[in-house]
Amino acid sequence: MNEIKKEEYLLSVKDLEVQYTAGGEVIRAVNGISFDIRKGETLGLVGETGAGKTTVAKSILRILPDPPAKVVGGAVYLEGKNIFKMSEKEVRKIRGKKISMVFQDPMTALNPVYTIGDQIAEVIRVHENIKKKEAYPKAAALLEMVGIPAERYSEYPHQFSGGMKQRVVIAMALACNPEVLLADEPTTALDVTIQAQVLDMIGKLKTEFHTSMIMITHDLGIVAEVCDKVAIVYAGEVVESGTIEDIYDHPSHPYTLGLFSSVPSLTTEETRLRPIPGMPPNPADLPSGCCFHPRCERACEECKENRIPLTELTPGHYVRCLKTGKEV
Amino acid sequence: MQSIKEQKAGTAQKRKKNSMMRIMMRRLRKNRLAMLGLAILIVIVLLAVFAPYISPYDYSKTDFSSTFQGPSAAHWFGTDELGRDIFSRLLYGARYSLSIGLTTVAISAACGVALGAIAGYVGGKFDMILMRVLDVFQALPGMILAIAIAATLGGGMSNCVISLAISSIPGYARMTRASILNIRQMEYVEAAASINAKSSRIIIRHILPNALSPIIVQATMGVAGAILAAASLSFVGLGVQAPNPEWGAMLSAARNYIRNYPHMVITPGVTIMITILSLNMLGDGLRDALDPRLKD
Amino acid sequence: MENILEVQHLKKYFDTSRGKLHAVDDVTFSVKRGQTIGVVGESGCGKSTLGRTIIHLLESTGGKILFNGEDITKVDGAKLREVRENMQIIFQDPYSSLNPRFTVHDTIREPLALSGRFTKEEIEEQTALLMEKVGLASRLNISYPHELDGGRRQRIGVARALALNPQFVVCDEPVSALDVSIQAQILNLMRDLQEAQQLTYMFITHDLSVVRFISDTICVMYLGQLVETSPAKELFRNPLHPYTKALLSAIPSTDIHNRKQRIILKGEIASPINPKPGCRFAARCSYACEKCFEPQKLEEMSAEHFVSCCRIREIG
Repeated sequence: MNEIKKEEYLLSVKDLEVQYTAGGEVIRAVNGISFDIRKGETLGLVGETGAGKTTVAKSILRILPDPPAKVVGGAVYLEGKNIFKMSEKEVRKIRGKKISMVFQDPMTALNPVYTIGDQIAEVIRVHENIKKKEAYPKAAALLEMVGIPAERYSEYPHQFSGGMKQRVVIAMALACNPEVLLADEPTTALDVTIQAQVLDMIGKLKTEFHTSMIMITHDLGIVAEVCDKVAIVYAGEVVESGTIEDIYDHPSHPYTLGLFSSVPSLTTEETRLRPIPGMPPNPADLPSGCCFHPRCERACEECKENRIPLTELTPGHYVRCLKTGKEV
Repeated sequence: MQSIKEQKAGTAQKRKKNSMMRIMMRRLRKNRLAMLGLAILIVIVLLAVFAPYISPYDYSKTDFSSTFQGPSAAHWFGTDELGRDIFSRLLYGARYSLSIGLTTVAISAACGVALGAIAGYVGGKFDMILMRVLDVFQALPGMILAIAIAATLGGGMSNCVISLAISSIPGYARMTRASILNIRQMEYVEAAASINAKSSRIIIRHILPNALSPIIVQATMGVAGAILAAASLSFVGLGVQAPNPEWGAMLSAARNYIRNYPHMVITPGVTIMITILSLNMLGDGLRDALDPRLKD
Repeated sequence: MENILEVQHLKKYFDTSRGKLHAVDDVTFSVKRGQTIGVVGESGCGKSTLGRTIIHLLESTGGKILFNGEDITKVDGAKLREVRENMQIIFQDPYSSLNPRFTVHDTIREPLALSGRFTKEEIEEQTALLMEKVGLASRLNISYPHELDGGRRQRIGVARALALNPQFVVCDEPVSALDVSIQAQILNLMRDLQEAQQLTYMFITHDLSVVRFISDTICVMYLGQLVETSPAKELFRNPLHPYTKALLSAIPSTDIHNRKQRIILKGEIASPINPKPGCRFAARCSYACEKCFEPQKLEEMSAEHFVSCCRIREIG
C-alpha cells in the first residue's frame, strides 16, 4: 500500500529495518522502528551510541551508504507517499526542500573552501532555479534570521566559532523552508551557553515556520525543553514512546528508568548513581527476545524467548516490555 | 590461581592474536593483488640469490659467434651485442637492482626517520634549520640531484647508492616529522610524560611505532623508485657501469639496436617493469592494510 | 583537614604568532585532602590547561603551587619525578589516551616499571590488583584498546593513573566521551576509589550535573579567570556571579513542569589572546559597568564562597 491518509501524519516511519554488512558480519542497526509526526510536532529520538537513531534519520533521507548499509524492510511515508519507492530524481527534490538534516559536527559539515554565504545560496539555487544574484538576498536574510550579521556573508567557515558554524548549518537546513527538520545531536559539540542560544533559536524558527522536527539526542534535558513526543530507542527498536508527560512523569520501560537514574540530578542529593549494569549489546549479535534482558533486573525466562510486542499503557503511551503494568 | 610464570607464558601466546601487526597481516593476505606482487617479488629474490646455480651461462662470457641472437632454446632471452646470454645477465642484474634498492631505502629511511623524528619531537630551532636544509635538497628535482652527486663522486655501485640515498632522505624526514607532530598531540604521549617516561623512551616506544605505517608504505614504494632511478642513472652512463649486468645499463647498451634487435631492449625493460609493478602492488596493499580505519 | 594543594595567583601564558594567549590568569584556590574540587567552564576557559600546569605537564608562567605545604612551582630532576608520582592525571578521550600498540597489561604496568622501585613479581602483582580494583576482567590483560569499548578503556586510564598510588589526581573530563549509562558506572567507580584510598580529585568538566554529583567544592572559570568558588551544593542553590547564573540557567532541565526563564547570553566568547584588563565576562554581562574593566578581586561573600565581581553587592 503506497498511499496513506494524507491529513493524518506528515511523516510516517513504519517498521523500518536497516542492516549493515561488514566483514562478513550482519549488523542489525534498525529492527522495526515506527513513529509518526504531525505538522509542527517535534519528536525526540532518544538513545545511546549505536542505538540506530542516526541510521533512521539517514534512511529517511535515503543517504545511507549502500553498500554497506541496506534498508531491508519497512517504509517511510512523506505526505502519504512512500519515499523508498520514489526514483532518485524524486528523492533529490525532497532532500533539502521538504526534509532537511542538520548533522552533529558543525566543524566538518561546512566546506572550508567556500564562503558560508555561497554555501547557503547553493542550497537555495539547487531547489529554486534562480541565479546567484537572486539567491544572495535570500541567503542574507537567512543569516540574519539565525543571528549572524549579513555582512559576514563572504566569510569562510574557519572565521566562525563552533556555535556560529552550527547556526549556519541550521540556516542551510532551513533555507528552503522544509516541512521536516532532522537534527542529529545538533548541540552535542557545543558549549552549554551556546547550546542554549541554538536551542532557543531552533525553537523560535520552529514556531514561526511550523516546521516539524525529529531531534536525535541522548540528552534527556534537551528533549524535555524542545520536544512534544519522545521515542526511546535501544538496539534498533523503540522500547517506549509517548508524549513528554508520558515519558517524564510515567517512565515505564526498565531502560528508560535506567536512563533517568544514570544522570546525576541537579536538585537532589545522591552519594551513588544507579547506572544500568552491563554494556549496550553488539548489534551484530543481539540477544534473543527482549534486547535489554541481559541488563534488566526484572528479566525472566519469558523475556528471553520471543520478540516483545508494543503494549499501550495509556492512549498514546507504548512500552515494549512484559513487566510493565504489573506489580514489581 | 596460576603462578605468575604460567600466566605470563599464556599471555605471550595469546597476545599476538590481536595486535595491530596481526590484523594488518590478515588484511594484507586478503588482498589478492598484493599477494601476487609479494609472490612475484619472492620469486625475483630467489632467482637473484640463487643466480650462480640457475644461470645457464657465465654472465660476462662473450661469444662473438652468436651475437644478437633472438630468444631460442639455447638462449631463452637471446644474446646481446657481445654474444652474452641475456637471461644470465638479467639474473645477476637482479642482484644489483635489488641490493641497490634495498640498501638505498635502508640508508635513506634510517637517516630520514631519525632526523624527522628528532625534528618533530624537539621542534624549535633544530626543526627549523633542518627543514630549511631539506627544502634546499628538495628544491632540486630528485633525478637531477642524483645525477649531480653521482657525476661528482664518479660512477660505480656504491656511489650510485649514496647519491640515491641522499636524494631520498628529505622525503622520509618530512613524512616522519609530520607523523610525529600528529602523534605528539595524542594524549597517550602526555600520559607517558606524566608517568615519568624519558623523552627517548617516549619517541621510541610510544611515538615511532605508531608513526611507522606511512613509512612502511613509503619504503616499499621507495625500493621500486630506487631500482628505477638506478636504472636511469646507468642508462645515462652514471651509476653501475658496463660490463656489469645492471638492468639499466643493459637497456642503455641496447638502445642503439632497438630497430633490429628489439629483444635486447624488451627483456630488461619488461623485467624492470614487472619488478616495479609487483613492488607497487605490495605497497598499495600495505597502505590499505595499514589504513587507520584499523580503529574498528 | 589540611590543604593538600594550594594554588596562588597561578598563570599560564602561551606565545602565539598573534600575541600572548592568557590561558590561565591569576587563579587562586586550595583543596583539602580527600576532597574533590570541580572545575567547570566552557571552551577556552583554561580548565584543562590549569590541570596540566598543576601537575607539571606544562610549565607555569607565574604564581605558586604548594603541595602538602611544599613549594613545587619550579622543580626538576628527581624532585619532579617525585611530584609526578604523587600527582597523576586521567584523560578525557578514551581513544587517544591509550597507546594503540600497548595491551592493557603494557599500559598499566608501565608506570610501575618506570619508577624502578618494584621487582618483576611485584609489578605483575600490582598490575593484576589494579585491574581488579577498576573492574577489568583479568582476561582483558592481553587485549588492545581497539578491541574494547569506551567504558573499559577509561577504566584502563584510571588504573594507570592510580598505579603509583598518587595522592592527587587531575581528572580531565573523564566521562564526557562516554555514554550516559557507562558514565554513571565510571563515576561510581571513581567515588569508591576515592573513599578507599583517600584520594583528592580535581575534576574538570563542562557537565554541571556531573560536577555537582562528584565535587565538594566547585570553581567556575571563564576565559582563564576564576570567577566564582563555592561549596558544590551552595553554588547551585545560590549562584552569585552573573556568568555562573547564566551557565546554570542554560542547562536543559528534565523537569517538564517547572520551566524556568533562561538567561540567554548575547555575543560570543572573546579571544584569550592579549586580553584587555579587567573582567573578561564584562563584554557579555548585562550588569557591566566601567569598574568592570579594572582588575577584579576574589572576595569572600559567605562561608567559603568567593566571587570575583565588583558589582556583586548591587546585583544581589
